[in-house]
Amino acid sequence: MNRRGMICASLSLIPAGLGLAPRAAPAQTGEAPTLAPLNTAWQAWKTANLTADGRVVDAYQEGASHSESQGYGLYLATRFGDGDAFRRIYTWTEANLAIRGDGLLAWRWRAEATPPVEDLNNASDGDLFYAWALAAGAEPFGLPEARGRAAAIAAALDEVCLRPLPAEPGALLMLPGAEGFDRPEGVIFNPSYWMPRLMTELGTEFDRPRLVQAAEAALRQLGAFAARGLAPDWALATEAGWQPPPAGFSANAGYEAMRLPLYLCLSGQGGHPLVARFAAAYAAAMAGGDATPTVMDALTGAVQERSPHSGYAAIAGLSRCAAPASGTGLPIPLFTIDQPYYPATLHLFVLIAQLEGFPACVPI
Amino acid sequence: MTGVVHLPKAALAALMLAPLLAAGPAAAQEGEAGSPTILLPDLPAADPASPGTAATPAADAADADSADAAPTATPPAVTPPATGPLPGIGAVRRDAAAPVPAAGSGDWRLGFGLPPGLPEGRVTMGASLPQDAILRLTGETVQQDMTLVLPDGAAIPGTLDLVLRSGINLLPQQSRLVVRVNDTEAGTFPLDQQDGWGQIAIPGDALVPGVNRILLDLTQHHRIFCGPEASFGVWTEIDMMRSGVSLAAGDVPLAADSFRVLATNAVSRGLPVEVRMQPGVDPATLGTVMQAVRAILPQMPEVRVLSPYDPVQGAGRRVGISIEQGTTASIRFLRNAQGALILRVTEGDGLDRLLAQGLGPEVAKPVLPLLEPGREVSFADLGQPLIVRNTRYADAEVPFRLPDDWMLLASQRATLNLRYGYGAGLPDGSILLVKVNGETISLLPLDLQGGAVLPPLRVRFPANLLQGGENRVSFEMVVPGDPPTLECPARETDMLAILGDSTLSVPPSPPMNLGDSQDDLLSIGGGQVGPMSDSGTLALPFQAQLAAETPPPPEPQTLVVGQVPQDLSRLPDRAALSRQQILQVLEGVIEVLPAPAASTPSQPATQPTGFTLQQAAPSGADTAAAEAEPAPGPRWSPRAVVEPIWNTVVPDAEPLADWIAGRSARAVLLAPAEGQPGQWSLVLRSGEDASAAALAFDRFRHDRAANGAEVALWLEDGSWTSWPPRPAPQLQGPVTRANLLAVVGNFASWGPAYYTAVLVGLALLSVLPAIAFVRLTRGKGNHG
Repeated sequence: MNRRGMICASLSLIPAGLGLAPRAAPAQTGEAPTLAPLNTAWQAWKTANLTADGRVVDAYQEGASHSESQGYGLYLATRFGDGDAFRRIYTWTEANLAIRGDGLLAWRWRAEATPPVEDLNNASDGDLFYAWALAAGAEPFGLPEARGRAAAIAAALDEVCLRPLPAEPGALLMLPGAEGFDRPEGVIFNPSYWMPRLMTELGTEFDRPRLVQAAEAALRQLGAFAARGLAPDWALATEAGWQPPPAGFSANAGYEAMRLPLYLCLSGQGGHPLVARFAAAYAAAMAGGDATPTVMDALTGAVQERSPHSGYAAIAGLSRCAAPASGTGLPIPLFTIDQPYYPATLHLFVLIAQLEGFPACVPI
Repeated sequence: MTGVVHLPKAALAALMLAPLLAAGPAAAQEGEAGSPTILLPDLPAADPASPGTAATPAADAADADSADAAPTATPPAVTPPATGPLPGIGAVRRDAAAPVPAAGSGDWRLGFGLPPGLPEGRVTMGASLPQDAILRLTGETVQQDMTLVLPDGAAIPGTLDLVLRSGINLLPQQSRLVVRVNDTEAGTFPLDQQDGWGQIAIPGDALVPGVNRILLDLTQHHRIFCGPEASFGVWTEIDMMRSGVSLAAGDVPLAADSFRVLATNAVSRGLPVEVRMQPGVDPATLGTVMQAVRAILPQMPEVRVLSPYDPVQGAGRRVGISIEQGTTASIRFLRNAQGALILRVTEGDGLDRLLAQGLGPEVAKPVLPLLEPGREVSFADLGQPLIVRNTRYADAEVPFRLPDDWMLLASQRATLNLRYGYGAGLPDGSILLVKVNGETISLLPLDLQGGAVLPPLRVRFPANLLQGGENRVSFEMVVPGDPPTLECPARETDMLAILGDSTLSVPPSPPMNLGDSQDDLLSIGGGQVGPMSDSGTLALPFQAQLAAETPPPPEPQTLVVGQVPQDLSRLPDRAALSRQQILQVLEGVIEVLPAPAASTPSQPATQPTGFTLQQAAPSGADTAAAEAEPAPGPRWSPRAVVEPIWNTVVPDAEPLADWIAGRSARAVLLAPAEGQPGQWSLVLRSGEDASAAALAFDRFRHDRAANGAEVALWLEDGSWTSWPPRPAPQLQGPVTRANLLAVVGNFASWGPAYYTAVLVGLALLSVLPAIAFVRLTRGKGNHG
């Protein structure tokens, strides 16, 4: 198989007839399930979060848009074969966030700010999702230039956003952004920016093996976190190992790190020990029927915040499903749009992961 | 490339390094002075090599060569560490807008149950459900019973929460709510929540495990006016979804009893039963599940069938059903993330037995009392020992049932012996209307001789106002304001009382009805429903809704469900209505291109945008009704003369095409077509909600109006109308000397002209022998 077919092969769920490259033969699991059952949910998500001009709005963040929200939106549009949404998101993002000059996206756009982009720094997870979706959608949606943009972003991620782990110089990890995270006292990382599957596929697609290496290193480091507890939102990597991040950065397993079991499941890593760690923590914290913990101590699992939004419960349910030994009674909830952008988006991701990899864990 | 999976060399390297890496962090931890203790529970036995061995799918699929390939870009030079401000992205809060629930937020919210049969979708005097789960209590005085079922062993909650709001017309100073819990007064509360929803906490001291009776007794005064209109202007609404009690999660067992209570409560509030069914589940399983669930519910619910992936619609439910694919039948009760109790069913052999055992015994359905014809029956025996009303507009009903084969269409009389009384000093113009099945049979003044129970009043009324099956005698009181422009004066006596020893007497009838089509429709079970086309999901709500509590008869009828326009071509050719007529009724004006032969040279090539049914020429493939219409043209035809006469004489002979012209409907039901015995067809308008249509169809087939229907229309207002409008009576038993006159009377009343014509015909036939005899005898005399 050539490299160009890599992402397309992973996109075997996109409806046929969109002009995708030939698909890889399913290895062992038979024909991949379609995402068609989620079309109604996808339409509801778009109605709630996507403007006509292609901006994905995070209402909780005062109506801001981020490279992450645009990347998530483009990823979903690609997965659902929604060419119209793809074009709108792509157009808006290029016009408003692709202003750094190195191909990466500025991380935040706020309508009430002047200029709307106040900080030109990027967020590598947004770039990662965005570039992957561009590469996957370019051909089926008839936008060949999008592939060039994806290649440019992959190159920039490779050249600007990879750093060796101080305690293990041979291991490359992806920085949260291009500027400001490599400090004299260590390097600040956000483990939840590491989406192993997308990093691997993007690196393979555009001949960027360092991205593939970073994905493998990420999996190992997540395993290291799992050996100690949960993964934190942010951590400082020093020559002595992982340390708490600087003040102002969350050292808890909170709204950032909660994505890790989801990303691992989407990456075919449901058996990763970090998924089991999260599953056990959720099971313990929700045994009394309480709402889903959203902020937990990364080492003890002590709950600091909970939320009624079902998107977070969906992650708990998916984790439990992937690690059934952690206990029972945490089903994946039905999708509801009566929640903010962030949990709603995570909820949709969970349902994709469930359909693809965990057919027994049907939402109830 | 074949399907063989190659691990990239980098992944293999990771595999080899995994044990070392897994040990690495632990070692580092041991070496770190003062590193925090790990308190999380031990991991389940995990594959020690997981991080390294679980290669990403993409990596699996990648060419081994590609992972080894040298980077095409030179690794960048290492930039010096940053010393400026920390990046702002680290301070972003993802989501904390929702109030953070305290521990225990997973408590169950148990709601109140309502008695079955409250009016839904409209406002009536007294209690009604104008919207799902919103109970409206209208009028100057209202009493409403509710139930609250507490599980055995549950901690008794300290309070009951009532979320309510009142109309702006209420005078709060004189309006109040008295709550009684198990006949013990639990408190009196002002009705002053007029700016929006508010919550009151009712002491729960009198609550007990099991069934609790909650009585709401409202007094509501209009702040300005008095009179019937003002009666409707004073109301209080209760949000049944948010009202109730909270119980600790562990106090509500995840079991059938809890499911029965929650499901019964939901249905009593007008909420549908929601079924989430995984794609691929056999529709027969859906029917099996709903058959079992209907058996434990006291009234017919609306059933909504959705995919587990469809978004949640409307207010969060408290109970639901989930059906999943499988090979081994099982049922479980569990709580979903939205706090609802879910009956989770996995399909498989023996599911019906499992459900019957798991859901518990059937619930007896409320059945109207039977009034035995020929016998005087009291209101008390019909379940109404006393009716008291104290609102300026008031209504009351005494529902009952007559045998299904009861029918009197002639001039027989039934008798109502009314025992009633009304308050002294009611204003001039106060009246009481007495009605039978909506027809007024008496108008009684209430502004004379008040203050006492009056002697029995004998009201004789036409028995043909009654019908086999469900009937009701109703009362409607109107008491004007005195004056209407001031608030009502306080009253110390009741306005109206109708006593339980009032009686009703109905004459017996021969066993007759309007046909068997209702029985045919009722024989359709969930398994007898199918889609017209392969699109599939349209029939699912019907398969769920029509799941009968008892198995269908050996030879049930069937129903195919379709939707215009896609299923139009699949309608039977010999259906009573043409496809054009069905489109016209469902979609309004339609665009029909005439056949080329019909074009004339003077007509433009492009046709007008559309025309109505009356203008549309019947196509060759369309049928009975179209063919029955008189052919255009000036030529004289015997049919043109006979048909109008026939239509006048025979009541059910109105042509279907005439009857349906100009009508609009949401769905059309067609009786079995010629050549397709036993198969009913239901065609829905494009975009019509199939679940709502299924419920409407289910209700229609339980209505006596379904009898004799060959075509029925589901109208915009939710009601049904059917053709022929006056189907011919059918005798369901032998004609005896005792019932001969009643049988003849029924036929004569059904079609007087038809009856007369028959009699005239018989008379003419009987005259013929006499004429023949006279002619013969006169001939002989002349000759003699």
